Amino acid sequence: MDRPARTLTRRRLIQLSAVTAAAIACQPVAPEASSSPAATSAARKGGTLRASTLGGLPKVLHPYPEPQNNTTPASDAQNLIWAGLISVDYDKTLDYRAGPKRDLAKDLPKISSDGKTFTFTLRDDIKWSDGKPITAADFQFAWDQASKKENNWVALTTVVDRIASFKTPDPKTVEVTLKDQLARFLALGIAGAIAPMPRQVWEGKPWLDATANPEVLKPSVVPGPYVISAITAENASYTRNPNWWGKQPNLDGVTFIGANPNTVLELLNTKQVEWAQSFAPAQYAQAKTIPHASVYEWSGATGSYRVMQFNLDRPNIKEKKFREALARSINRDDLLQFEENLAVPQYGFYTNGSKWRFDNAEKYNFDMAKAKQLLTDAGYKLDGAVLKDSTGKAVKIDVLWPTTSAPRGKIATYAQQQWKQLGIDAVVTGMEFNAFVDRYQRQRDFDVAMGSFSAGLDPDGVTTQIQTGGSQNANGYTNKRVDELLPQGAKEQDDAKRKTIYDEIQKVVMDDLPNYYMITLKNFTAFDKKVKDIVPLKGGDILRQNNLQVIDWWLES
Amino acid sequence: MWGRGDPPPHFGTMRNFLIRRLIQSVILLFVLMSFTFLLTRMTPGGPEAALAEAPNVQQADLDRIRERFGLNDPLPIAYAKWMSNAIRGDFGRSYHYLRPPFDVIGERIWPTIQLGLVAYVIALVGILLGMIAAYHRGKAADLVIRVFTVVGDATPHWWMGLVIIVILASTVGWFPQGQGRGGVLDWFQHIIVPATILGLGGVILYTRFVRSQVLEVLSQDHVRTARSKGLDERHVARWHVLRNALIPVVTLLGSFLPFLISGAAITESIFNWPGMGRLFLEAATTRDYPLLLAILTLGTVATMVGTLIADIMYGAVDPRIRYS
Repeated sequence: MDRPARTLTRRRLIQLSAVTAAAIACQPVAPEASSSPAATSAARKGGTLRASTLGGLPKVLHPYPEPQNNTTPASDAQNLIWAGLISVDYDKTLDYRAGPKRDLAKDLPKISSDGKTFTFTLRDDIKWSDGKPITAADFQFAWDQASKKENNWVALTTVVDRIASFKTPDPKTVEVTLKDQLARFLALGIAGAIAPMPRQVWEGKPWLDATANPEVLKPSVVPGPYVISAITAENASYTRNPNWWGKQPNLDGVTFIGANPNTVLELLNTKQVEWAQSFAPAQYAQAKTIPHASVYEWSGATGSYRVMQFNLDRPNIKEKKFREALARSINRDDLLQFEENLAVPQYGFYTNGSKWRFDNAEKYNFDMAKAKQLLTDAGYKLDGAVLKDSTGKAVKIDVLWPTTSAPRGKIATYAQQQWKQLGIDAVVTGMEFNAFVDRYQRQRDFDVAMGSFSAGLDPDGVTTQIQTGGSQNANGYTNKRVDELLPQGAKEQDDAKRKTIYDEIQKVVMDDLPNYYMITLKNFTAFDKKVKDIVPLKGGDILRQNNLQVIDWWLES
Repeated sequence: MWGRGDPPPHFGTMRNFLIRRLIQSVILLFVLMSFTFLLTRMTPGGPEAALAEAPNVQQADLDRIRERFGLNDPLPIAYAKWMSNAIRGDFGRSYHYLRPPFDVIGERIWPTIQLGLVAYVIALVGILLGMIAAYHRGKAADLVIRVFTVVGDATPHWWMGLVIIVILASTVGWFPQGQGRGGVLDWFQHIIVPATILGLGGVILYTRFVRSQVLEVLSQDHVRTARSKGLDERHVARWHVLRNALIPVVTLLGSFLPFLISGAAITESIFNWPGMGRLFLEAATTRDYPLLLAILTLGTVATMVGTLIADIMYGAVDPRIRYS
């Protein structure tokens, strides 16, 4: 599996990071629909859902975590215990809403004529888990603390730096003004990113010192449907919030049990859990053999995709024809087997499910003859089985992959064999994840890296990959036109015009070929059949997106 | 004969030995801590490196983390800061737990000690097996025990753990995960499998060690003399053979203390045991330097103390040993 613990943003940040691609078709292959029509609401109440999870358990549950604490397990917990002003409807519209189940705002905000100020009105019935009402002052307190540089909130750059002012003129109103006008989806993600903090509990306590402030480890007062029951090194348990104001969850509790890749499915198999949250594609077939399990597989609008990243500052690699030869010698259909066919080909930086996808850019489909011709055209010559450049030097390239991802290793080895047919000597090196990222992102000491990115719903999410100096632009890619168009795309209010801008960006970037986009991964997970009312999300991951579907799940007795 | 209140014989040399060893230990600890610090910092990647792949983390965030964690300090300055604080017992604050490392270690060390102690008790079976093998040298029992030790030694423990999980899952439909918090029986059910796997290495070690020691002692004159005096064979085995054969085994106690403290990363991970081994693995993969260095320092101290205890015990059980 890929880095189970590290990547994910927490709920509000998923909205906000709004990285790529909007919506499209999810094709759930759910083995069964869930709820029994005869079951009454009362019969659905009760029970604890146990989930085996990879990547450890949350170490702290700070609502405004530092970047290193912004992990997937923490994100899962945040979804259960915290709540925000608005959320993305990952089930249907893939757009923002003020959801009746859990969101704290009455409706979507009023937006000022200049598109910069967003005014939210709070619901009348919202309260903390200690029964006290949630007011705008709690939002103001949260903003005042989270916006301090020294408090190191993970979204300081992506949220705080883009907000001009945060005001709470009365107990029911939150008014956020952005520094610049942004596209609606992006702007809503930023304006709605601040969630309340129980001022009465946190005021005067150190923000990040878990010894002096135990709230950092285990917040005692929260606004979400569940409260923390216990956090240990073995499991993290949450029980129903007795003062929850929204739709009552069916489940009395949810418990995440730390597992490793070897036990995550065995726990489901032995009925020690009812949900194997994530597991490696190679275990998919095994999951299907568990008689009491339902395995779900679907393509969400968000998700991960595999990318071959080229270092544009390296000899040979910096030549477009050479890169194109490398790309055209890879058959995307071949790559699917390395993901146990839980993937689909991808031809650009927006996934197939994205409404921002552009089909008229160059796809660099598999064509070995053309690959060889491109190398000849670029002045390379085959000397026996060895490709030599114009100076007569044998061509050799370094390929990196992280050992935490077996599929990426297989793809690297496959590429090595394909490139051997071109006479290229590819040295494939697997590295421990941290060392891998350090070498290719920070040191940029590579020719080709087997990368992986996460797609969001907003097209602006690719900025970090393709903008000059972008944090994920390990390629060293720079193109003036792209740098001009990206800010325009981020500000454009009209979606049709926005699409035109991002179409052009895709055309330019695909022509330049800094990355070769390979495959989009499907979502998959496995539940015990007694867990009912599970619906694979159109938007992506079943729990980590902001839908809180878990409220509707129930256990058949 | 000692008079009442007199120091025992060699007390002076023992005291000198201890003082000398303590001084050596302090110097060694300083050197090892320095070496550990350098090794940790020279490992590729840092606590912020893995975050570089996260889409919502910008370069400014990574720069801020480096600044906040003091990673921009030149290595000598970082080393001087860390060492001066560590000498005062301040190992900083874990990047991920947001607490002093020894607070976190304090929560994890007891489960590891439990696992280590049970594993050690299981390992002691090796003494019995070693005796049996030696007394039945060349016979079926010896052969079976030797095959067991060879196969056991050649089998990776992590693999054995996984196989046991699969077997238990397919037979009794259960395998241990975590500590078990439902009373003594539940605790025992959860600890016995990982402790057995962990103790297996000790069983094999003790079996081999005791077998060779017993064989050596059996051929010595004092055993022959005891037998020729007509002493019961059980008496010979217990008081003349085992007692002498176990003297070198005492030295193995030196390696037990660090094992008891440091835990077993793979076994703890497979069985979700909340101990030090898993904590170490976690700290290493996330480059949680304060936590990692605290664990390594604790392991270093435990090794040195264990070795010292073994040296002292060696002298205590073997009168031929003199401290000079």
